[in-house]
Amino acid sequence: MKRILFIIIIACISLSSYASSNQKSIADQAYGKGQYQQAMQIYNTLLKDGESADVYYNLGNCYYRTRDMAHAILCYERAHLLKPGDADIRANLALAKSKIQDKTVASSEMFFVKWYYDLVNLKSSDQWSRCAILSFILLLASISLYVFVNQIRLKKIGFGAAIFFLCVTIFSNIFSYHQKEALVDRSSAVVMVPAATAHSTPSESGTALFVVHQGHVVKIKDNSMKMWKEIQLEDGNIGWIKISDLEII
Amino acid sequence: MKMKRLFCILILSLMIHSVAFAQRMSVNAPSTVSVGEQFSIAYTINTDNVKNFHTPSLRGLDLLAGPFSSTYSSMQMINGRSSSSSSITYTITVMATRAGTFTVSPASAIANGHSVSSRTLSIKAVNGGHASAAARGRSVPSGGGGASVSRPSGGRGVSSKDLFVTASISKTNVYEQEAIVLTYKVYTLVQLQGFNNVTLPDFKGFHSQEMKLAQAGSLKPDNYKGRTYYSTVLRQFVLFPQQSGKLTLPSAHFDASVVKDVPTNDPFDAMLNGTSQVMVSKTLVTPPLTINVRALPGTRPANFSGGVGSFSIKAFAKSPIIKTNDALSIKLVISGIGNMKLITPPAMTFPGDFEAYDPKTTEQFALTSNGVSGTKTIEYLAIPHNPGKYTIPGVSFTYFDSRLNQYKTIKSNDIKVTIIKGNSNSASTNFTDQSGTRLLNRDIRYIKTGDAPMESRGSVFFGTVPYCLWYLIPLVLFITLLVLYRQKAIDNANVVKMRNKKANKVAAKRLKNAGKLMTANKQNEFYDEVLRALWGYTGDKLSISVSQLSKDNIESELIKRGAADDLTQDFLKVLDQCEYARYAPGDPNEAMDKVYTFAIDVISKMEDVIKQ
Repeated sequence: MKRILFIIIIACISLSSYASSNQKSIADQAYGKGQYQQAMQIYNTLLKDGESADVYYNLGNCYYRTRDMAHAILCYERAHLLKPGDADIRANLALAKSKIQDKTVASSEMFFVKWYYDLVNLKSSDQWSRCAILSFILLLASISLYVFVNQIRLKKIGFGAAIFFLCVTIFSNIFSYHQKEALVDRSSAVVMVPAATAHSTPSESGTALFVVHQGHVVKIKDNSMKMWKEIQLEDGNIGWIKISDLEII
Repeated sequence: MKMKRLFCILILSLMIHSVAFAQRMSVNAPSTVSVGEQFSIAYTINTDNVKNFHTPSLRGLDLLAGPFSSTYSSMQMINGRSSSSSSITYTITVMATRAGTFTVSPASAIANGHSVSSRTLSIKAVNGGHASAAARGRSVPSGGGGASVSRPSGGRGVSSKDLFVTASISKTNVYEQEAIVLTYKVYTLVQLQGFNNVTLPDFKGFHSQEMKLAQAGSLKPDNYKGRTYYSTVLRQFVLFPQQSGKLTLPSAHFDASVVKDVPTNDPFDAMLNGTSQVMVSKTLVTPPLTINVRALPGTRPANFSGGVGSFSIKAFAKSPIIKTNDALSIKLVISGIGNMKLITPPAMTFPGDFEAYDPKTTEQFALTSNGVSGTKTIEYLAIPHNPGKYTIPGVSFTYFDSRLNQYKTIKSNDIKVTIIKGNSNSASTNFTDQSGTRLLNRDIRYIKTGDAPMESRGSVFFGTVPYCLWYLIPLVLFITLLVLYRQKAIDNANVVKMRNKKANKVAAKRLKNAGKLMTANKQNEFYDEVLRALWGYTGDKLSISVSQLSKDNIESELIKRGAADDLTQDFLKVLDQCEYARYAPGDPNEAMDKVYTFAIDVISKMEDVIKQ
C-alpha cells in the first residue's frame, strides 16, 4: 500500500513538472510564430506558481514586442534579480530602457565600487551559496592534506589551498548575503503609469516636485507606508509617489 | 398786390392745415416672420416736409440697416388744374434673432411742424421658414415641354422656402477610410446675386478633398419636394472618415445676397416706377449631418498600409544591371481607387550593404465619387557598393478591400539586380578605408527555450537550515577524522621534524668538530672534516652513496633538484677551496676561517633548496 502511494506521488510530481515544461515550450513556439499575446498569457499563468528568470525574460520579450516597455522593463528587472550574471537579460534590459521617455543616467560610482558590484552580480545568491559550500569542503580537504600527508610538497599545496579556499568561502558568503538582501528587500520599482508626479509629502496636497514617466526604474527609500512610497532617482532626487503608480520589482 | 399774395398764403396754409390733419404715418410690416430672416418695416408719411424721424425702439429685434428715406412726389394736371402730392418713406431692415412676439413701439417724426407717430406694431417671429405666406407660393410642376419654375413667395423678406442650401452625402453607413461625397446644393426661386461669406464646417474626423466642379454657377431647373427651383451645386467634397463611430458634420453657413423687389402700397408709384429693388442678405444654414462610421471588420494586420479601396501594385527596376556606386532605382506603382492619398508607402528592404535613401513619392490622382483614383509611384533609391547578384524581395502591401469587405495582402514580384564593378575606386577594390561591421539595427535577443525550473517565490538558499547543515556536516566529519587519526597526524608532524633536525644535526656536528680543529690550528684535519661534512651532507640529501659522488654528478643532480646555478657554483667552489687552501700561501687561520663560514653558508642555503 505504501509503495503504491509512493509511486503515485512520484508520478504526480513528474507529471506536474512535465506539464509546466510543456506549457513553456508551447509558449516558446507561440513566440516564435509571433503570437505574442498568446505566449504572454501562458508565461503569466506559469509565473503564478513560482518564478524563474528564464520565464520572466521570455515574458519581457513578449511585452517588448507588443511595445509595452514598462512591463518589459519590469520583467527584465525581475529576471535580472534572479539571474544577475545573464548577459541576454542585461542586453535586453538596456535596450528596453533606451526606448522609454526618461533617460537612464548611469550611476556615477568609483570604479572599484562598480567592479565590486559587477563581481557580486556575476552570480545569484544561490550560486554564491553553492560556491561557498564547495569552497568550504575544499578548505577542509586542503587542511586534511596538510595534516595527514607526510610529503612536504603536498603539504605545501595543502597549506596554500587552505588559505585560498578560506578566502573564497568568506567572500562567497558575503556576496551571497548581498544578493539575498537585494532579492528579499525588493527595493526597486518601475513606474507603470504614463506620468507619475512625485510630491514632497505623502499626500496629493504636497508640492509637486518632479514627474517620472512610464518605465522608469526608481529606488524605494521608505517602504513603511501603505499607500505612498518614498522614492529616489539616480540623480538623488527624492519624492513621494502613490503605490498605484508603481510596481515593485 | 401785396394783399393778394398774403391772401394766397392764407389760403395755402389753410389748405395745408387741412391736409395736415389728415397727415398720418402709415406702417407696412409683415405680421409674421421667421427667425433669422431679414425683413423691412416701411414708415410712410404723406408729405415731404418731415424732420426728426425717430426710429422706434425694437425690443428683441436687430436693426440691420436704416432708416433709409426715399422721397416720392407727383404732380398731376387735369383740365388745367394741377395738383401735387409727395410722400416720404423711411425703411428699416430688421431681423428677429429668436422666436416670439415682438412689439415695435411707434415711430415718431415731425411732419409740417406737427409731430406724427405710427401705430404700435406687433410682429410674431417663428422658427423655420414657413411663416411668410407659404401658402401663397404656388408650385407649377415641370411639364414635358420645358421647365417652368415656381413663383417665389411674396413678402418683404426672402423665405427659406424660396432660397436654401442642402447638404447631402452619398452614404450614411460607411467603413473607415471609405469615400463619401458631400454636396452643397443651392435651390432658389429668387434673384440670387451670389454668396458673400461661406463658412464651411471643419471636417473634424475626416480627411477632405474638394472636387473641382465642371460647370460652376450655372443654374438649372430642378425639382425639390414637389417644387421646381433653379439649382446648382455650390461645393463638393470627397470625405474619408478617419475614425469610427458616429461622426457629425456641423452646419455650413452661406451668406447669400438676393435682389428683392419691394412692392409699394401706392398704386401710382407701382404704375410709374414699377417695383423698387433692394439688396437683401440672408444667411442660409444647412442642417448638421450624422454619418455612421464602422470600424474595419476583423483584426487589423500589423503591416496595414491604411489603404481602403481596391488597388494593385507593380514593382520594377529602372535598369536590372547597374554599376557599383551608381544609384539603383526601383519603382513601385500602386494603382487603383480609394483613399490613395492616405496610403503609407510600404518599406522596401534592400540588402544590408546597400546604402538606402528615403523613397520619393509622385502622385497622379483624379477625384471621383468613389474616392481618389489614379497611381501613386514610389521610387526607392539605393546605392550598392559591392558587385554581385542580388534579389530584392518584393514588398507586401496590405489594404482593406472595400468590395470584398476584408483585408487583402498583395505582394509585388521579387526584383533581381546584377551589380557590376564600376570604374570608381570603391571600397571593394582597395580596402584603404576599412570600417568595422556596420550595425544595421538593434533588437532584443531571442527568448530562452528549453526547460526552466520554477522556484517558489523568494526562496533563497543562503541562511537556511540546509545551508547551515552543508557547513556543519563536513565540519563534524572533519573533526571526527581528525580525532580518529590524531596519532597519525602527530606522528606525521614529528617524523618530519625529526628528519629535519637530524639532517641539520649531522652537518652541524661535523662543522662543530671542524670548528674545534680550526681553533687547534690543525689545518689538514680541519679541511678533511669540512670536506667530509660537505660530501656527507650532499650524499645524504641527494641519496647518493659517498663513493659514487663526484663533482660532475653533484652539479647535475643539484640542478635537477632546482638549486640555483650560483648555489651550485658556490658549493663546488667550497670543495675546491678545501682542496687547495691547505697548500696556499698566506695566513692559514684566515683561510680556514673563510672556508668555515663559506661552508656553513652553503649548507644552510642548500638546506633551503633541497628538501625531500
